[in-house]
Amino acid sequence: MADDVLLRFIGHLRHHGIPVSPAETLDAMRVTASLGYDQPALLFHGLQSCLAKSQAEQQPFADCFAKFFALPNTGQTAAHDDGDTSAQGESTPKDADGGQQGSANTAVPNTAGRGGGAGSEGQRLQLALMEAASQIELNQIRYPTQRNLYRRRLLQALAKAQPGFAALPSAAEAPETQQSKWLSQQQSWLQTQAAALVDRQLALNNQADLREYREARMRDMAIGAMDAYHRNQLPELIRKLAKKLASRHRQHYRHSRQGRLNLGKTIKQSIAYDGIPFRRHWQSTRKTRSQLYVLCDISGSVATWSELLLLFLHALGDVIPKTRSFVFCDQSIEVTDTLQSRALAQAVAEIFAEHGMGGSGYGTAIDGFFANHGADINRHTTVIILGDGRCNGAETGLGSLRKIYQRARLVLWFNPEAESRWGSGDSEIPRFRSACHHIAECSSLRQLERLLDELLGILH
Amino acid sequence: MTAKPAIDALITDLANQGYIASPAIATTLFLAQQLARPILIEGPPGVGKTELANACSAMLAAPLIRLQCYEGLDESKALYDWKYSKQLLYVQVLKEQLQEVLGGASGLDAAVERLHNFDDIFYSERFLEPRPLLHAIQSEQAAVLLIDEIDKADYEFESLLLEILADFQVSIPEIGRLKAKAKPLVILTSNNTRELSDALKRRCLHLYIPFPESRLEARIVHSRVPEVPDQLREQLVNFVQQVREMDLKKLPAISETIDWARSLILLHSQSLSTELVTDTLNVLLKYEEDIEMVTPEISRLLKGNP
Repeated sequence: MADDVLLRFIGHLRHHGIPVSPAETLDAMRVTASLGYDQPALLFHGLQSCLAKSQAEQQPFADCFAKFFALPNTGQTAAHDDGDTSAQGESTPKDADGGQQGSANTAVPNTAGRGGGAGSEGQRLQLALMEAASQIELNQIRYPTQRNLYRRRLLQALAKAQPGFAALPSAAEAPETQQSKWLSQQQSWLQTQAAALVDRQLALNNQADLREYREARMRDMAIGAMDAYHRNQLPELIRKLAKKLASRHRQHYRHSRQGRLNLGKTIKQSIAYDGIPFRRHWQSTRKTRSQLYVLCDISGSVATWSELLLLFLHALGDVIPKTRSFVFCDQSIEVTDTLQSRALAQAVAEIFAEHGMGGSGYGTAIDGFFANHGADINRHTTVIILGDGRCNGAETGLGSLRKIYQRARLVLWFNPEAESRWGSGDSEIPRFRSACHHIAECSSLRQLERLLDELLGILH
Repeated sequence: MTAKPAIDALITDLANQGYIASPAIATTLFLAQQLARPILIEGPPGVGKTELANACSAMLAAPLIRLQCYEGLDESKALYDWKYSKQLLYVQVLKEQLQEVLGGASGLDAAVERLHNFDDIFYSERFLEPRPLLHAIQSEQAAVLLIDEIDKADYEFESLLLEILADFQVSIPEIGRLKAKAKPLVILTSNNTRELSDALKRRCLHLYIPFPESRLEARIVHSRVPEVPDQLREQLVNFVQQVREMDLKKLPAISETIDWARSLILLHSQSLSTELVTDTLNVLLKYEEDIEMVTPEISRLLKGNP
């Protein structure tokens, strides 16, 4: 029974994007077996330690826990929390409105019923409500449109189990007695309870479903067409994609540090030791780490893409070579330090607030970049430029870019515009093409992901 | 349930060792002992990750075996190595013995056959040089194994750890499997400089230690530097808490708070003043930029004290 509750909880965690493996499930079972369900705060810490395995998962876990177990804010819990100064940043999950959650709470001690149902009568009704909920499989509810259906089913199931409430004489038929008044109060209280129960279960199921769907759609959506709401969701999605990409490329990144045995030298040395290779010589290959320069146009038209690229590259962390990031409107400014010293999303927002939103001047920006950093560019350097190549008829900086092209290992241009529009109007992409190894379109997240995937493949 | 008293007892025991544990820490430690699982501790530097291992070792009266991770750490430094020089020396010394063993053997085949009859003496436990991980496994008494800053090691090393973390055993190709005589309490710490592999995380209990809130920090300072007068302690903790809300390169951690408290005691200070803070700020902050950022704010931060 108790395990059943735990399994359902883990199902919800998975649903909310916290991966839980079968082995962790077994661990969680042992945790609940040794801690029990009667100390919510202990249970929370215990389950957190074996189910939420990263910092990013802590908050979603706490939310899920609070929603699922909907812990009552009893005096006992509060006293416990006050007594032990918790080092946790977040407070122990307590749901102020207490109450019930799905059929899960049959195992968790609950507060007495509130509202119309007082004392043991209230508890009895709560229990009846839970039983009815599990009977009609309320936890299957997925979409808001099903709300009324489940509410009705719930009340019907309840009526079947509690015939007394279903067959209430209407007020017109019978004189209003104390008894009937109390009954109709109970009934309306039950209705609100049922509605609340359905809503809470829906909130638990629905959010995750919607999120999965939204993420799948967002990867293909043209970034330019996204509204602010969706753009705000992007950093989280990028973090996920970057993690996947990083784990795919991590294997390629390994190289033998020791190198191969230098047989000749080893044998020569071993003569002194009677032919025994006492000292071994290794042919170590000194691998120069490649370097990545990213130059992002942050003028109004392409700022969003630059933001995403910066987020993506820095989320890739240690699989990507040493990266120096620059942003430009008409002057290239190095922002590597800002990106490293602060939380990523915050740093990016700061950079854009400080330097962003001007007209792009490719000429001065690329010339300036080459003048300052041209000397550092060599056969191990990859340069990525993100921009639409629209120079407003001004200088293009093509001369400098060509010099960069000749020195660097790879010059890539990521263009957020669709390929059909390259060269139209003031777009100088066709001219830039002569000074780049490759110009690629990156209008959606999926394209960006694919480009970085290929890039990592080449770099390693 | 018996868990709650046991966890409270753990908190008390740790407090006796000078480590003030939050319920989350104590619960995880309790589970680690019950389930025989390693603990992976994450959190900013200086919040007491390594200290927890020290406290556990003192509390359990178990030897602390520490493995400091760094880039390039491999099994010959972490797990075991063969005593090559000893092997070579033995080969030289035993050369004459070899003649006796082979004496009377007619032909090459017979000689090889005779040699085969001997055990593989050179790859036995006698020539095994145990490194920290193997030490922890071989220890007669259950040890506390601290694998510090696992995020600094390479990915290969993480894979190497999996066998030890999951089954408390080590496979040595030449010898076979060495099982732990007494299961050690394993504590891994990470500063989160990179994401650890899921395989490693799966085998561990996860514990995140954040910066402490002011009441807990005051208790920690009290336990570590009992000489600090109450008023000074309150001022000091309040000041540090406020500094943590600023945008600094490196936020001061508990260890810095304690260092600062100790230095203030050395200076015989009774309360914080702007000059005193200016002079001792370098104990608390480790970057020149941070100090420059905080210095003009000192009097405001001090006023923020109750």
